[in-house]
Amino acid sequence: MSYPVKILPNPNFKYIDCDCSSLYLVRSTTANTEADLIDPETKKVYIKHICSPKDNIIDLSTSLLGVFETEHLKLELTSHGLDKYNHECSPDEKVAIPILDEDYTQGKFKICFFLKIGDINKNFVDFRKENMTHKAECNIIHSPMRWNYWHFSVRWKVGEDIIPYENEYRKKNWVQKLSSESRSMISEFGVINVNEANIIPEKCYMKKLPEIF
Amino acid sequence: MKYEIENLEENWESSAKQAKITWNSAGSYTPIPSYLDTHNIHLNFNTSSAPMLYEEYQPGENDRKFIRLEKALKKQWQEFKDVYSKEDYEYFKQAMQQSVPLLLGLSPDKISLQLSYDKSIFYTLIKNDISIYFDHFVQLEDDMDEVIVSVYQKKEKIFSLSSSLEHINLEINQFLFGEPYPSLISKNELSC
Repeated sequence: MSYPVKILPNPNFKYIDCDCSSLYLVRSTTANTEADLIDPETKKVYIKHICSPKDNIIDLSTSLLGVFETEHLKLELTSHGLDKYNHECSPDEKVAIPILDEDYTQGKFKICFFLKIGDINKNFVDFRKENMTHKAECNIIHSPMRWNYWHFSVRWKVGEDIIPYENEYRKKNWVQKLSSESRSMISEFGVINVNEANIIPEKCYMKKLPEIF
Repeated sequence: MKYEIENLEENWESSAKQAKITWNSAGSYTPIPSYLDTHNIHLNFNTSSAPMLYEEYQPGENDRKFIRLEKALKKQWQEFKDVYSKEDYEYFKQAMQQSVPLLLGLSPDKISLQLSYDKSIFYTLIKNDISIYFDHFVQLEDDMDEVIVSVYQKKEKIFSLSSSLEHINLEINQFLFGEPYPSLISKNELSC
């Protein structure tokens, strides 16, 4: 299967500039089945599938559902592909189409869950740091990657600063507490089925729409 | 017939079948009047280390939930063996015995437990249309456990608190069932 060009950055694309509240983010997991993803007692997504230790809930990687489909979660970058494509870029970057087996492989279908942007964006969570309660604001950020224009990050802002994605932060006690609140929020709003995924209008990501004659 | 049980750890289930029991914050077990099983209660933490007396056991819903949670903890620890040692597991077990009585006192419709990678036991409770997330951080090197609680109702966060286990009991009960109590964080502050 050739690489889906429609998910790559494109010289005609810009940063998404519309209200995306009604749209959904998709996050792939390592669960083998849907039953493995959801706690049968509470019907919530298991926290171990929200974020593994090697990932970072402070910068949770997702994709905007619509043009990007769950089928695309099968794409797995090779080590060569990771070097070449697993970097943030501008939305209009001209990127060479990844080559099968060299840059990526076709993996198996991934079990995933969805987050409605309007449910979590700009929500606040509280965490303790040095005996003080602080607020962190959830920020959904369009962060195109060289392999996926539709890549979005779930980040956290304290005051005016986005908490950086660095290992030194991950071990901090207060970051663990913030992570706990984040887990709760994502567990609360994570769903495994989306009945109606809205498609984002082209004007929201195309620099200039083609003229209609 | 009355009899003493000093240690239910090894043979909890068979002991539970014979004894009417509940749990206190110190991880030991205390008798509880049967009517409390079906009411929202403010748990009275008993820190006494004296042996407990048990009589006329009738298995209650909370007993079954406790047993199920204890089994879940053990099962999950098996999955986390690369992360946590046997010694850590004992800490988790003690922590669970402290936090679960508090949570069962909220009479949840559903309750589950998960180990996290951050040295915490993450509980999810469902009560009517309310979701309660209770993350009990087990301080493996000292005895100051910390708890983070988030409560959601109809997709809105209505309560949040980070505090010691001792304080959290009062706060949650007051918020969900009781008279106004000066929460560290008021629900109004959290509306967004």
